[in-house]
Amino acid sequence: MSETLTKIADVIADLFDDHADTVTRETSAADIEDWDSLANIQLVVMVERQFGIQFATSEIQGFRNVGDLVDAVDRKRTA
Amino acid sequence: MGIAVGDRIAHDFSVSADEMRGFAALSGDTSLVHVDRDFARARGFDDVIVYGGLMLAQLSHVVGMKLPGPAGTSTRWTIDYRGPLYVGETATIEYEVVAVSPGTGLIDGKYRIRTAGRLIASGTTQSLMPTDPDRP
Repeated sequence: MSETLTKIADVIADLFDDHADTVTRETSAADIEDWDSLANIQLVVMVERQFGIQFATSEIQGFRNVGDLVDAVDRKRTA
Repeated sequence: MGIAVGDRIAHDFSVSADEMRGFAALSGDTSLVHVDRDFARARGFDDVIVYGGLMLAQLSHVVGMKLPGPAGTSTRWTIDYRGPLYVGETATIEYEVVAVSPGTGLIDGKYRIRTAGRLIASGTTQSLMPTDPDRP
């Protein structure tokens, strides 16, 4: 598990009170019952703050799963 | 979105006896500290104390009409009551934007409710604003 994925898994665990051990790149809103549209916004904002970055709305709309989020974070951190 | 960290607003208000009666009827809350002067004084207050819900109504005015304003949708409020507000007393809500996420449209704010000499309450708000797909 990459460092970015580990940190995002911790954020997901914090937001949803569990699931840290089961988060993979393929994890999506379909896998976590409480992951609704508002929770998705909260998750993105928590990730923005965790890594000190900000996403554009168009980037957020393209996230299909945790892997897309991990890749977007890594792109911004290496840009 | 035009809202930045550090943006702030102040809003003065007071609560009348009619508003207290109206809130009691609306909420069904006639707990003694809000309606019985003798009881309130016996509990150490100077008079009956204003309903917290009426202060939240004023906070609703601030976040709904001033900052972040009419385009926002509230997603979270917190409040810690710190001291009593009395009927007819002027109080001020001091609200400040503390975080902005342009991509999601999420705005975090903090506020304090004060009278001239006392802190009445403090807390946080979170509002969701419409987003511009091309920002940041």
